[in-house]
Amino acid sequence: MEDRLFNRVKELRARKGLTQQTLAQHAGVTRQTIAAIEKGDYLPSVLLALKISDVFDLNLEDVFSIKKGWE
Amino acid sequence: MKIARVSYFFNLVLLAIFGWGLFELLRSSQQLAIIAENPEPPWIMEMNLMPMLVLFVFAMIVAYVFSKLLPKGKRSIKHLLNPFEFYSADEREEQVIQIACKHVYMAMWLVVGLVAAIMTAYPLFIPYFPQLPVLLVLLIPLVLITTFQLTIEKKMR
Repeated sequence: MEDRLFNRVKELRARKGLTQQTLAQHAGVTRQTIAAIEKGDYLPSVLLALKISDVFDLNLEDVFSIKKGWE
Repeated sequence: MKIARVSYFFNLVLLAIFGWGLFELLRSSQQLAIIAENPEPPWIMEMNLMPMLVLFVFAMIVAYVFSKLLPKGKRSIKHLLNPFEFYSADEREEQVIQIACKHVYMAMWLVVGLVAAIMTAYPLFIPYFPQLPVLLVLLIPLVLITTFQLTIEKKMR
């Protein structure tokens, strides 16, 4: 049992009509990094998480959240 | 990723040219040893300088290719002197490089141990294959850069 970071990046990106490439450009990273974050393969730094949240005009906790005791 | 692949390829070529140069240097040392054993003139010693010339041309090619491959703003002498494998476009790639370095460190202990063990058998090979130590020492960076590249390929997929 461990804590996991969940994110709504894919959902919010689709809602805003952004491509991975566009979001990546806004956040200053590569498209592959956005894809990895969406799949949960990569945990972004606080700085990058804040940048992504900023693109969606949301608070950090509205985009990223911790699921406790995930198996 | 593309930069890492090109860099790996160039590193392999560099190792091959460097190995060629060392083999030529070894041949010269062997001639020098014969002269030292029998110092009566006339002496004849030959050395192939071609590897040095090839290395010089190769260095020019590498500098040119990377001055085009690296993004604008990262084409200064400072960046060209850094290992190109360490170029990262963002924090995830930086993290992958850190993981690759960890794997290289672990591989170093294995390959150095193995090379040291094989070197103990060197006296048996001297008459047949005097170049063995050079080859074994060059095997170390070959294994290390391959470990680095395999990790990068796996993690950046």
